[in-house]
Amino acid sequence: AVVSTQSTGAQLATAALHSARNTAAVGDVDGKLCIIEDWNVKGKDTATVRHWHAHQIGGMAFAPRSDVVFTGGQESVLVKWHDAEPQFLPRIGTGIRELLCPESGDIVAVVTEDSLIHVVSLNTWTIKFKISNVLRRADEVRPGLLAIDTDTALFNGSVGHLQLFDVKKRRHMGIVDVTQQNTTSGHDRNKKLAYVEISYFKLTGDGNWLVTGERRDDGFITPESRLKFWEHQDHSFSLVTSIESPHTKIITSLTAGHTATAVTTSNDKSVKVWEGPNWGLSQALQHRHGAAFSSVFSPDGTILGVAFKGLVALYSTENWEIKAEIPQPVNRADQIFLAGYHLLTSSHNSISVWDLTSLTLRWEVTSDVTHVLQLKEGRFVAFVSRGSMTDAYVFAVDSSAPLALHKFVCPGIVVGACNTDDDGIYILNSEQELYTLSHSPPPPIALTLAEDPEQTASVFSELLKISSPVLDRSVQFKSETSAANAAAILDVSCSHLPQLSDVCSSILLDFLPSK
Amino acid sequence: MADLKKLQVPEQIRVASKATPETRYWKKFRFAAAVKEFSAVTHLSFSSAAPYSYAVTSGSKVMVYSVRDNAVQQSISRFKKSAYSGTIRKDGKLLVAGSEDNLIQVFEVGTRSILRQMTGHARPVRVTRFDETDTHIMSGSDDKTLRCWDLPTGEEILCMKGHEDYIRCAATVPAQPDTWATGSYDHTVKLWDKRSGECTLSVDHGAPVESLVMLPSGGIAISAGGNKIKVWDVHRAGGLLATLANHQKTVTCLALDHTNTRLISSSLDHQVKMYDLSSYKVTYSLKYSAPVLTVGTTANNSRLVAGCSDGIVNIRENPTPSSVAPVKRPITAIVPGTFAYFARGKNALPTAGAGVTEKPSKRKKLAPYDQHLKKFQYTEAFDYVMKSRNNPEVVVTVLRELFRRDAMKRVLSGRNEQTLQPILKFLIGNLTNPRYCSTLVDVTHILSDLYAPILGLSPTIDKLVEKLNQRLKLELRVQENYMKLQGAMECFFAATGLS
Repeated sequence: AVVSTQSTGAQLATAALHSARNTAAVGDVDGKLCIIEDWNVKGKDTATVRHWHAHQIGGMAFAPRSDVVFTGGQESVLVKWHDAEPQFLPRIGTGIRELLCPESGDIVAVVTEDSLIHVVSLNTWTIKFKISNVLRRADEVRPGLLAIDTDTALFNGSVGHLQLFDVKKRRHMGIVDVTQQNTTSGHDRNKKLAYVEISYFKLTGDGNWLVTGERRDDGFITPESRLKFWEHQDHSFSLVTSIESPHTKIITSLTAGHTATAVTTSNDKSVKVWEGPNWGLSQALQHRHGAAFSSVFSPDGTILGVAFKGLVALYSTENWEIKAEIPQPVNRADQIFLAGYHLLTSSHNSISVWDLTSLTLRWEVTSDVTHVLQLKEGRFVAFVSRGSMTDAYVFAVDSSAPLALHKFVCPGIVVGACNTDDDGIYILNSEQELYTLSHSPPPPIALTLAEDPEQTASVFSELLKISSPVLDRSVQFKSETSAANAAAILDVSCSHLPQLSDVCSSILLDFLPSK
Repeated sequence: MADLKKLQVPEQIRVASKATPETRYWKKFRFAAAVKEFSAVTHLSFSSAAPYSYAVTSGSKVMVYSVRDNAVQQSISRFKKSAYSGTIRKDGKLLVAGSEDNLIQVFEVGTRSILRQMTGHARPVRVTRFDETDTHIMSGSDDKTLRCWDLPTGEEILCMKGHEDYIRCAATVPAQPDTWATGSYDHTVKLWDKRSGECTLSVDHGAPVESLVMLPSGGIAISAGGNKIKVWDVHRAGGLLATLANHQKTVTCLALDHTNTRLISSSLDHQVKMYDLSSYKVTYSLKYSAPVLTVGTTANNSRLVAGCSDGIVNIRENPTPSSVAPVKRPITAIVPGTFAYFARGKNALPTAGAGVTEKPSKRKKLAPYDQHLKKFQYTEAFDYVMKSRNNPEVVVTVLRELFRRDAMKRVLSGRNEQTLQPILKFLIGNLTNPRYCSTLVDVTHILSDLYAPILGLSPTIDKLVEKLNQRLKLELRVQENYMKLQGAMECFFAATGLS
C-alpha cells in the first residue's frame, strides 16, 4: 500500500524506515529532515521538520532500538538527532553518500563519495577506523599511474591525494596527502568549489624521489600552481621542497630522470630542469619553436628529448646544448620515448618511429592510440581504443608488425599504465579501475576483515583460481562443487564477501548446464 | 572527525646565521669607548709587551693610548705638519713616525722627547716601521724609495729604489729579519733583502696596494688593494693563493690576530670583517658609522680598535681576553653520591638509565585565523589578519584560502570607510611584491568592482586609492624600463654573436 503524507516542500533525496517502530524519515536536497511518526495510521501521523544540514542529505539511518536518527550531508557532517540538542561529527571526509546502522547499535558506518567507509563508534563519537579499497572520485579526472615496487601501485585517489595500493594482496595501503588542503564544501550548493588538483606526478628512476605538480584554476582568479618534491622511503613520502608558480602558465608535462632530476614543460615557452637533492632550478631552456608538450629522458640519461609543435629537439644533459632536431608532422605529439637509437612519438591518431642514427622516419602507423607504455628491451605496448573497450598491442621498436595482441584488455579508455619489474603491467582506465596484466597468476585474495580466515579462504580460493594468464578480472571457474559454493555465498555474511564482480561470472557459470 | 588542516604558510628561504665559536668569540668584544680626535685616524700600532699600549696617528699628532682606561696616555704633537704612521716598538718604549715635512722622528714614549731625527727623503714619509732587530728603522715615502736607517746613529744605511709610485705600506717578517715587504700605489708588492738591497720578489696586485701583512713564518703575504684582498705564496715565487672580495669599497687596512690565525680587514664601506685564515671565509662582520681607515687588536687580545675617517677611535673590549675560541666542556655524567649530584640543578639532563616521565604532549593550539576558518567565520579571519601586524606571507596565505573557499567577495563587500582602510594600506605596501602579486591583484580586482561606483564619498579612501594608483604606475614604468633594457641587451648579444 502506498501511503503519502506531508513532505518538506523540496525535492526528496533519501528516505529511511525504522526497523521496529512505525517511524519513517525523509531528507531533501535543501538539507531538511522530516521525521514522520505513525505513518501507517491515517490521520494520526505527525511530521517534525528539522533543518541543520547546509547541503543535501546524502544518507539516513535509524538506530535499531531507539528513537535516534542519524543523517549525513554533502558537507560531510554526521548529525545524531535526539529530542535534545543534536550531536555533530564534522569533517568526515568528502560528501557523505550513505549511512548504515547495524543491529548491534554501537557503530554507524558512513560511506563517503570517495568510496571510503568510516566506522564511527557511538560510545566515543569518533571514527574508529576506516575501510577502503580503491578510492575513487565522483567526477572525472585525469589520473596517472606509477608502480613503486613490484606489488605497489601509486595512483590518483580522492581530491588532491594519491593512494598506494598493494596489487598482490588487493589492499589499500595508504594515501599521500599531496595538496594538504581542507576540502570544504562552498556555501552555494549548486556551485562546486574548485579544488587544488594534482596535475602530474612521477617517480625518479631510482625510486627515491616523487615529483608532483598541482594546480588550481577556477576560471576567475589567477590560477595557482605548485611543484612539490617528496622523498620516498618504504612507501612513505615526506615533503622536502615546495616551489610556488614554477611556470607562469600551465604546465604541459612533467618528466623525472633516473637520479634526482625533473623536467617541466609549459605553455610559457620554457623548459625547466630541476635538480635535487636540494631541489632548485638548474636550467631554463628556450627554443624558437615556443611551447613544448612532452619530454623524455633517454634510458642512459644522457639525452633529453623535448617535443615542440612540429619538432622534437634532443638536448645533451651535460651542457644542455641541442644535439639534433627532428621535424615532426604538425599534429601534436602526446608522448615521446627514447629507446636505443630510436625515437617513438605517439599522438592521438598515430605512432611514428624515427631512427636517430640516420635521422629518418622508420615506420608510421595510424590508429586511435590512447596511451603507449615503454617496456624493457625496446618493446612497447600501445593501447588502442575500439568502441568501448581497449586492445593492447605489443610491438618492438624496429618494426610496425605487432609481437602480441591482447583483445579487450579493459573497458573504457586507458589513461595510465606502468610496468613492474617482473614484466607485469598495471593499467588504469578512465573509470578509475585498476587492471593488471601478468604472466603468472597472483595468489588468492587474503580478506583482511575476515573473522575466520580459514573458512573464507576455502570457499573462495577455488572460485578465484586464475586459469589463463591474460586477465585477472575474468575468472575461470573450475571447481566441481559448484552448487555448494553458491550456497556458501548466501550463508557467509556480507562483510566477508570479496568484490562481487570477481565471483559473479563464476556463479553464473555455476547455474549454466554443465558442458 | 578529521582535524582541520592548518594553513601552510610558505617559509621564505633565509640564510641561517649560525652561532659558531668564532662568532661567539667576536661577539664578546663589547663597546668600551669612542674617543673623538680632531682629524681622521690614519694609523694604529700596538706594542707587544705589557702594558700593551697603542699609538694612534691622527692629523699632526700621535697619541699613545693606555689599555687600562681606554684614553690618551700621552700625546706627541711635535710635528709641524701632518704625522704619518706612528709605530710603537715591540717593547713599547720607542715610537717612530714620519711626517709631511720629509722627516722621520723617533720619540721616547715615557718622556715624549725626540731621540733621533732623520732626514733624507725627498717627499713626505708615509710609512715607518721598526725592524725585527730593533736597531734599524725602515721608511717608505712618496719619493718612491725605501730607506733603511740605523737607530743608534741615525744614519741612512740603504736606499732601495724599485717602486714606481708612492709606497704606502710595509711589513717586516719575524722569522726572517732581513726580509722586508712593501706595497705601493704602482699596484705591486715587493719583497726586499736588506743585505743586498735588492728586490727579491715582485707581485702585481692589480690595484693600488693600501695595506700589507706578512704571516710570521714569512711564507705568506696578504695585500689589500681596491676592494680585494690577495693572499700570496712567497716561497712559490709569488703564486696567488686566494682572493677575498668581501668588501664593497676599498680595503684600507689589514691586521692579524694575536694568534695569527685570523685576519681582520677594514674598508671604506664602514665595515670591519674577520676572516679565518685556514678557509679564507668571513667569520664575522662589524659595521661602523663612518668609513674605517685602520683597525687592529692589542697584543693580549683585550681590545679591538678601529679608527674612522671622522676622527673617532672606536674601542671594543673583550672582558675575558683569551685568544682561543671557547671550547664547550664535555658533559660528564654526574655520579650519585657526589657533591655535584647533590648540587645539580633542575636543568640537569637525565642519565642513561634514569626513568623519565613524559608529559602528555600538549594539543597545539590553532592560530587565530585557523580557528576562524574552522568555524567558517571568514570576515573575522580576514579582519584579524589585516589588523595584526602579521608577516605578509601569512596574510596572503589566508587571502588565498578565502579565494579557495569562494568567500572573498562576501568578505570584501559591505565595508565602510573604517574597515576599508587596512586593506588598502596592505595593498599599497605589498601589491608590487612579486611573491604576492597574483593573489593581491585578484583582491584589487574584486575591490574595484565593488567600490569603484562609490568612490569619491570619502577623502581618506580617495587618498589611499590615489596612492595605490601611483604605486602601480611607478611599477609599470619600472617594468617597462626593464623590458627596454632587456631588449637592448638581447639586441647587443645577438649582434656580437654571444648566446
